[in-house]
Amino acid sequence: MNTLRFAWALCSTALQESASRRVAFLLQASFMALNNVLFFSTWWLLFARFDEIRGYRLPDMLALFGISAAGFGLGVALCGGALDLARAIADGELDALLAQPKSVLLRAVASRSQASGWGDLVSGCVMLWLSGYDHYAAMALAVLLSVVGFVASWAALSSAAFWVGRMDGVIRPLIDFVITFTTYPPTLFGFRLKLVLFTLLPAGIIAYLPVELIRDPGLHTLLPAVGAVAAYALFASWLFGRGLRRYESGSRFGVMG
Amino acid sequence: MTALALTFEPSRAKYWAVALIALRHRSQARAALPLRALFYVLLLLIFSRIWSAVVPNAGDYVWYLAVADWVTLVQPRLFESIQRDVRSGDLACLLGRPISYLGSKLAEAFGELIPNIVVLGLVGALTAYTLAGGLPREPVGLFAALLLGLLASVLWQLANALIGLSSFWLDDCTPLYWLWQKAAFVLGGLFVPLALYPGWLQTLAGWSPFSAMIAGPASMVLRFDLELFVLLVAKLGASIVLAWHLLQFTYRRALRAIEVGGG
Repeated sequence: MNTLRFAWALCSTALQESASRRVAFLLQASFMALNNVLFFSTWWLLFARFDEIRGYRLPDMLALFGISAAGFGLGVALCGGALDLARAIADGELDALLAQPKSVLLRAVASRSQASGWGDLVSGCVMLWLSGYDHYAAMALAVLLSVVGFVASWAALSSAAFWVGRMDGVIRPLIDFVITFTTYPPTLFGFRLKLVLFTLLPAGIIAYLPVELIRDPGLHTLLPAVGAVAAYALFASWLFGRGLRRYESGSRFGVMG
Repeated sequence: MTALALTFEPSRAKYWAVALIALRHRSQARAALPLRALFYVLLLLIFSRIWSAVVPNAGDYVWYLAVADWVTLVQPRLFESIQRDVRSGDLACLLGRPISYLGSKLAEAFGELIPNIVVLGLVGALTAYTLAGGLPREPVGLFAALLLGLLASVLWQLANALIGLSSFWLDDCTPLYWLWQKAAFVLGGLFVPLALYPGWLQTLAGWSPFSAMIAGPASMVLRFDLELFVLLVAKLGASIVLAWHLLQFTYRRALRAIEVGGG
């Protein structure tokens, strides 16, 4: 309970910091929402010509893209530091967090907020609404699972920096791969690629399982979705903890906000 | 400082030197290009699956996508580099050098562009050949696509520089880039050929420079038409001249904005 309260305090501080620059905040959020609408228009054009693509129709695509956009958006709005974690590890920027009583991972990821994330969240929610699926509790849970999945995947991939050092030039594109894959129907991929998408680049855990929860709500979709995200989040936390033991100080003097 | 804006001399050897340094720097950043190439292969794989699910002979579409994605993926993010200089204050030091800031930034971008064009071009051609099961319907169109792609890259970088210069006034020009990029994707027919768009959108795309930048080179592999090729060269050429003058004008205004601010 204490950890949850602490996480909420961190998030709200990051949000206040982000919203304090109002013009930049509004500009980034609105342009990102417009950006998503423009990007999704490709799918609208495709589905205007073809009713179905490998079992996916326009409402399914809207639900998948909506989950991905909303999950990513809320993830970077609440835990914006996660995207920059690999560089922070390699640069020795965790020094200031090590002496603190709370979780280093939580502090590292929740200490920053990206304003554009709110644009993603809003456009994602609009797409979910447009999808026509009407199980709103399932939608809310699916977005929540996607947020946890995204942040866990960024933490897990970034933890590689504990072992390999400065690799943010590699880790960031891998993170982008995950984001990209969450916006394409899983039915396009064969078994081998799906294996990668449920392990190394966990787009399947972040988006494909949660979207099934919306398409076909029930215990048979709820249990795999919750189980996979919980297991992956625990794995990411464990990996970060193992990596932290190898962490080498950047000998930095600084104050964490 | 205003005088510096007016002394951009593209013929000077120093700009070639900057481009060469950027090219060497790019070849030393070993992970970046292979990862971009991997992303390119994955995109082609995904869209070849999509097209093979909806049309009987998807080979032509794969080649279309290979060229369209090649044009967009080879582009360095020049606006980020300019924005970084403006935000960090490095610009103050860079403006004092005996070389035009804008010219050196463009030279740097073109230096990065060359290895991208070569490597991703080869990767794209090999992947498309494998996925499509052979050469495109009009193999001669590949040469036309290459030339149009080079012109499109020049225009893309000039537009990128313009977006980068907007950071003199905006806190963050990245959202502007997102919009420009996505407009290019949609109006350029990146994932779906323009011929499949509804009429009104085809007209809108035709009026924008994006159709000549992306769909133009890509359509050459579907059907090579000399008349269309010449028209596209003229359209891209005119857009480059227009963008160049707009860039010079904006650059002068940007430098004046610094003087007013006392920077």
